[in-house]
Amino acid sequence: MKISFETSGGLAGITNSIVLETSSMSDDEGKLISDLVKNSNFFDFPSESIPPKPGSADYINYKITVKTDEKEHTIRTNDVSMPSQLKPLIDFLYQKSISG
Amino acid sequence: MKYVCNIVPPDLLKQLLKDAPEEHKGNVLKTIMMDSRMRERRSILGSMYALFPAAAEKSICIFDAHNSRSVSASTKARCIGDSTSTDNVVNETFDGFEDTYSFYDKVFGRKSIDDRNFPLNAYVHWGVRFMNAFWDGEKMAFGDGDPQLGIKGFTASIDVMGHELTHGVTQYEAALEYFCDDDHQPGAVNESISDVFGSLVKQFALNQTADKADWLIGQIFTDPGKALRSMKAPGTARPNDPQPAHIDDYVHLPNDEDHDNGGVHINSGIPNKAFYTTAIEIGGFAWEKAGRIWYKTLGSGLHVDCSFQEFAEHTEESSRALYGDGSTEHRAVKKGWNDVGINT
Repeated sequence: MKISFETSGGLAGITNSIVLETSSMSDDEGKLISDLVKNSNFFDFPSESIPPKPGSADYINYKITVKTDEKEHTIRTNDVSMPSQLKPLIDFLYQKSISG
Repeated sequence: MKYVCNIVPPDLLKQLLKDAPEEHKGNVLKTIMMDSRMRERRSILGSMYALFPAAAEKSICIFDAHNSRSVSASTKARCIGDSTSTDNVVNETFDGFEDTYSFYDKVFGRKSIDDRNFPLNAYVHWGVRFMNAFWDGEKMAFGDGDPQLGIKGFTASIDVMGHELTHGVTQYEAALEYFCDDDHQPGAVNESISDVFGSLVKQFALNQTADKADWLIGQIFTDPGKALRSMKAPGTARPNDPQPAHIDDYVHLPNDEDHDNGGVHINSGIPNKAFYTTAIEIGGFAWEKAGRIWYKTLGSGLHVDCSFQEFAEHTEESSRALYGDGSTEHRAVKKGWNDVGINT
């Protein structure tokens, strides 16, 4: 499984991105991220983000692409309208992205 | 220079569209569309205000999100009337909100972001090592950053709190849209307004004159020599600071979620520099005259998708209305914009 994670916007207006390959991870971590993708029902989410509430500002925009042997899907979300189901996955990917 | 006047009633605009020469019909139609959006917004806001009770008492509440990204998982930490918290982050956020409320109240007579004591609620310890702070239309959220990565918590900087709360003021006064493209820059104007008043909140709290202020926004870094942005010298606040200081260096980015909605945090450097120059030219405390001009402009009927040019022209009109044509203040505003390549 290959996961691309990109962020943009936020108070600093910075863009950042990482690419993760489960085949390059430890078994435990690979299983962790696979479970996070599965439990979030990632492939059932629409591609377009829910727009932030009017007046919102300085939120980070997130773009996540997951590619398996069978399928590929991209979704977008943001700090304001992020569905709760996606939060554990985004938290994990966000930690990876800021750690470098 | 084209004026789009929304004092003309809709029926007359429609008659103008019918009678206008072909080469001018496009401008009249654009006016009708913008006018319609403005009137609709005012109608909605007006009807909403009619539903609300009279202005309430001042309300400030800080909540602890316990490193979640969830309001439901958060607990009340400190509100007005509560004793000081054992959590320094809670206390500095509370103090920053008090300072921001006090600034708007004492300088402009404004009661909170909607001038009706809209509750000021903040959620601290938002997320895990969250490197951000944001306004969601109703509340603010602040991350803790990670000092090991060189970033302190986002409540360590009073101008960040003033910046976020000012997004609420802009929401109620101008409803500026949050994007930039080659013809419209309302998002960068929105960001600049938050930087302007965020800096003024700090200057007011420190009782600093314009020439003594640092004009830095977001000193959230463990390195005291770095900040997110510099209004005095855009592009110099930190390594790889992308902000331009002149319209010739405007950063053209796609208006989409992958590019900071067209660079709203990047191109704000241009109006930021214009304000800095205006304030320095006038001298004294920046909130007294330059800040008053910008505050008047915020409520001057800007189009929700305004350009830098329109915003600049409105600040010039505000300076003339407040201080007179040809006054020191009027000339300072013109110089501020001329120096960044925007002629009013």
